[in-house]
Amino acid sequence: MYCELCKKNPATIHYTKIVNGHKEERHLCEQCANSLKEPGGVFPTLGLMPDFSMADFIGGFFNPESQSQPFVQKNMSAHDACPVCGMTAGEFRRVGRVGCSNCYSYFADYMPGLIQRIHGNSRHTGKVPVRGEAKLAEKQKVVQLRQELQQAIAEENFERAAELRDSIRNLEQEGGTHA
Amino acid sequence: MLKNLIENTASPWTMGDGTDSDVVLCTRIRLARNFAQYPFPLKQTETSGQAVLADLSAFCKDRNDLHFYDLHDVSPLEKRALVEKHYISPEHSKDDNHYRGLAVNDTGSVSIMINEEDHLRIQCFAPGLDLDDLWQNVNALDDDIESYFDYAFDERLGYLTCCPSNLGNGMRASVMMHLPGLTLTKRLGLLDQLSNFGMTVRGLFGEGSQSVGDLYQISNQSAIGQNEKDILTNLKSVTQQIIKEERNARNFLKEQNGLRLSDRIWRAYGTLSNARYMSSREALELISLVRLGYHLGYFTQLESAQVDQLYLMAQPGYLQVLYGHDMDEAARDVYRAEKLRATIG
Repeated sequence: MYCELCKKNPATIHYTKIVNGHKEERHLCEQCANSLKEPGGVFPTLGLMPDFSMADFIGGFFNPESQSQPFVQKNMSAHDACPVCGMTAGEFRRVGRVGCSNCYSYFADYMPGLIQRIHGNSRHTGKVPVRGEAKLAEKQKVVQLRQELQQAIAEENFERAAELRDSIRNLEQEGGTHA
Repeated sequence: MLKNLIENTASPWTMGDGTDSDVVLCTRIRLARNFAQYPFPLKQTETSGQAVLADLSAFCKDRNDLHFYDLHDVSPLEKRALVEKHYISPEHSKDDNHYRGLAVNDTGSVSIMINEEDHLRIQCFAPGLDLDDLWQNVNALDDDIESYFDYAFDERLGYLTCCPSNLGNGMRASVMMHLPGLTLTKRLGLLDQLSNFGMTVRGLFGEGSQSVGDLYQISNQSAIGQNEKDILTNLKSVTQQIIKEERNARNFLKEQNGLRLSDRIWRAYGTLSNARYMSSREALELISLVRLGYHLGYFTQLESAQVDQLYLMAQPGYLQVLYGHDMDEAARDVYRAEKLRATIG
């Protein structure tokens, strides 16, 4: 295949350009490709190649013109903002990234399809922070003690209930100082 | 101290050492982590940005083996050299109003980018193919940091990151491979298949499908629900397959077309050790052939580290740091030729 511009040299560079959903294939020789200087730097001068921007890609899903709208489940106004970091829905759409850990719950209804689309329907199975694990165990312990407390009250075993109440209070206070 | 690290020719990428070093230059594992109590760098204020820097600075003092730097105090040229050595990302070298920091050890085998896209990007490097030990190291460092600070974590989503695509284990493992054999035998198409195995490939230098200097980085694509050990096992076996194919290709070239191959390699050596002007691109192309020749046993007078150090000379930032200040392109080309001659001439 010859270069589509000079029609002399063999085409060694092949790429597909997608602009506003319009697909265009290009077959060029290196010389012509360099002379083109496509916007966005298809052929930047030699250097460390920048990473593909996943964030731009994600932001694109929320673009009003995007075909993937159906997975936005809850409509949010562009001004709705995460109370912790102030990230707005509009900004999230634009940058494809979140501002703090709370954004994941604040925007949860807004992007469930998004996380599913990237990651499938799985739960995290890898490493768990050691302290996270301890906290999780603590939480579960509190839940268990509460159940026992209800039981003790039902059985009118007030001495046991007082013990349980103190244990719960201690556990919860410890958790608080760790946070 | 940072100056030593920047100028040192023995970065983990250029030691010419380690397992399968004929094909693999370096292995890296990176973990993305955020502190629970602060907003991510994207939404940082001066207070919360400085707080992250202060926390890491204190952590480094406690540990003794890590040195902390506020990147505002590092010159643009030095930052460029840090990028070239892969201690920081191009993004992290920007002179902007973010609160960027770096923690690094003496040898450069550990570097933590602070307030990049996430609060922490914990990176460990090793020469050659070495995923198992590297995981032990980065995992231990991660545990240690976590014993000081609470991480942003969710039972279902895993480690919470600024970009939703990094959720889950937040791990990216990469192997930097030199693949001149597959290039010369036109079998790089093999790399296109890797996405089927959950891997991505990109050229280290240059653009488009073919990398300048035949250097490729193979990394895992990560998703929630995968655990670190499985990803690393998968990456290791994929890498080993590529190593096998690359060695086959090199042997094929030597057996089938030995004289032509050795002609190209010796010409490359001749140019590198005699030229008076040398552009970055030409250097990378020639170094690739010399490196191939070295591992085929052509240059018994050279050490493997000598050959891999040439990659540093090819790059503009490192060169200018050695020179002491900024140079224009022509001056760089002359100085580069001089340094290359001095290294292997």
